[in-house]
Amino acid sequence: MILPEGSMSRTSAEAVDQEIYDVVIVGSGISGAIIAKELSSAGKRVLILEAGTGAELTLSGYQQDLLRFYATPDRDNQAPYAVNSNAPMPRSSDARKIEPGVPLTSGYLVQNGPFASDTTYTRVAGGTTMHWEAKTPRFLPEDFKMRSNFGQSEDWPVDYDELEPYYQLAEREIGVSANVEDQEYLGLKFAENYVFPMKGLPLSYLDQQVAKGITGTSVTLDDQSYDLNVRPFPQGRNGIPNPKYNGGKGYTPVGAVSTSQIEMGGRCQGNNNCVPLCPVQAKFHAGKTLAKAVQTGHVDIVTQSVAAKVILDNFNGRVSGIEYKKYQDTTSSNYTIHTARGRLFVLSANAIENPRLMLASGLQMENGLVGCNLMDHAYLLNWALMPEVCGTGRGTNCTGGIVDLRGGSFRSKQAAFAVDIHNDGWGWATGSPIYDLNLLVDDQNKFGKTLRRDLSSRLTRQLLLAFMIEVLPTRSNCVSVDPKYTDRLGNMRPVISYTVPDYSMRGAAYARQFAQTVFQRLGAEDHTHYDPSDYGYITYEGQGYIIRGGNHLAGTHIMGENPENSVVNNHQRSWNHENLYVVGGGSMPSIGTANITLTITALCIRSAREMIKQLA
Amino acid sequence: MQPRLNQFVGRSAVLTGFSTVDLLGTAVAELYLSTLETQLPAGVTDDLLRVYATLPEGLAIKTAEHPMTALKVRA
Repeated sequence: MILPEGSMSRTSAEAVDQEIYDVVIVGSGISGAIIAKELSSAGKRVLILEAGTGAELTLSGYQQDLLRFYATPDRDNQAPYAVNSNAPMPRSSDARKIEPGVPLTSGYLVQNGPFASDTTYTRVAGGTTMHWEAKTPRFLPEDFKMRSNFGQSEDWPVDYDELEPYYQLAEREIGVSANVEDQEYLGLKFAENYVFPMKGLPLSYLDQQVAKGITGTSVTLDDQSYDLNVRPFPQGRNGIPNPKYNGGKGYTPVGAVSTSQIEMGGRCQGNNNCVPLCPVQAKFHAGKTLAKAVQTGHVDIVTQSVAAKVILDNFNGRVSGIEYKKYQDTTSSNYTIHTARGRLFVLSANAIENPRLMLASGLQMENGLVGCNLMDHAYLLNWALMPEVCGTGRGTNCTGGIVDLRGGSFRSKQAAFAVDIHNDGWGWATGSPIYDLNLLVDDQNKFGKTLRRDLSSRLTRQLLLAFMIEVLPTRSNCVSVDPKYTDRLGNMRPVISYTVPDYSMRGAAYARQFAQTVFQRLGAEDHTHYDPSDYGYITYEGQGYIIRGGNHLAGTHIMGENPENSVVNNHQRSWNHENLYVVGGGSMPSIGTANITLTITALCIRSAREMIKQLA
Repeated sequence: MQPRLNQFVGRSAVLTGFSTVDLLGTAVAELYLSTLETQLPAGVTDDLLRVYATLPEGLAIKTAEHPMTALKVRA
């Protein structure tokens, strides 16, 4: 995918000061990139404000990020990116236990607790798709009707059938590899004769061993029996193009982004270290969509530009501009202030940065819902050693899982979940393989061939089941701002308050039992333990669990049928400001058990159509 | 082969159980040594290599005397 040479510096902040764009977009992640592409393809003039440096979008910049990641001994999913105090971002390593009444302020996110989240998002060009796992399941039809079906939270103002054509477009844009026959479960319907752009990626050997072990196993929940299966996940990774796609026209995978023609990234190579970054860019990232947008010639991007304030016209409530701080470089706090002007404005920064900017600009609604209902999937990890070598460490991070309990009548009482089988072993739970190395060397004094043999035996038998548990909107789980807490440029930092709801913890408690059942069927030795000193430790009904963040942030500018119960309408347009769209996960009224990016993409394509109508 | 690289490969052979030929055959020994030196605080790599020199007879491997290594050195 060609990103035209010089496209990231085609304009300057000074030149932008003189222009009125059709649309000004804040943030170049998946939401901003999609909207930029759709609108520029319709001939609209688009400006994107990007807080990061944009270095990631050249091939050499991407390679530097990879090398930085490889060379970092203590790796988190932000490790590829150079520290930038002008556009700081949360890191999972920032999380600490929170003492009651003493906010955690050491990281970028200020956390009031009581739950200490290690959730993150990435503030570079391409946004959090620069570290995502790239699983792309659709929401279930029942996920859109939580109130009608289960008496929980609210129904969405769009349903599955309405969103289905946009799911197809999202799967095209991301380049999804999957087989329809694997994805037809729990009411998921596909258009007649639909095929995904590329054929499904195969299950790993580990997936297959788990599948073999649980064949014939069923569980009963709320008087309903569920047969357990291992299914492949749809993936935003390039597989074998399906010749039947698009009425027999096929699909051409989109490879690495570069200023010159290169042959890289056309196929997933099965690298196990593809999160945060795929070594060859076979995993989708929003830079690919951004490059397509830039190719139209209608998109300007200004980088190192941090949106600071949404400026309102006090007479009519319309947005008249976005004030932003253009910093000189990452090593200095020097900046100049500019204003981007346009006819429409789109906040696509993410579900924490969007409300942060709105609240810092005084854009709270009468219903007080801006920033409320923060959601993030609650992850419960369970880990065990399989009785035989299972090839752990081969294949991309996660190729298959158990999704049979994503839906069901039990959701009136407890959270649903999807189970990921992790091909990268216990890394997330324990820090493997370093954990195992320390154990064998420091505790057992092993070295040489014995060390290799024992290390290999442990690592290739590791099974990690990560339960992605549904979280419902709770008004008190929220993002706010406080002038006490600012970043280096003087922008207010996000302050979050968060509790994992009991509904989710009931799901977590069941998930733990479920994992024990699965381990028993597999003959696997359960090594799961939840240390009470861990920052994510939660006690529920006398049992302790550790909950991890999912980086699936949502809910802080919820969409709804009316301005009384929501922040945006079903096109993600602000109820209060008719030329402002606030897009992304924050618009979701609930998050079900699907990774949210595909649905964000579908929603944004739909919103872009509405913007084009509004601009006509 | 440089004495420092020699010590590093020898030490790695003891720790990993791979032969020095295997390790040199990867062609990344120099890169790994330089990565180690970049990542660790100054002096730690020296300490690690010094410890290797004190290993009991039989554990320390005489890298440069291995025929395959000698070929590499001559090349």
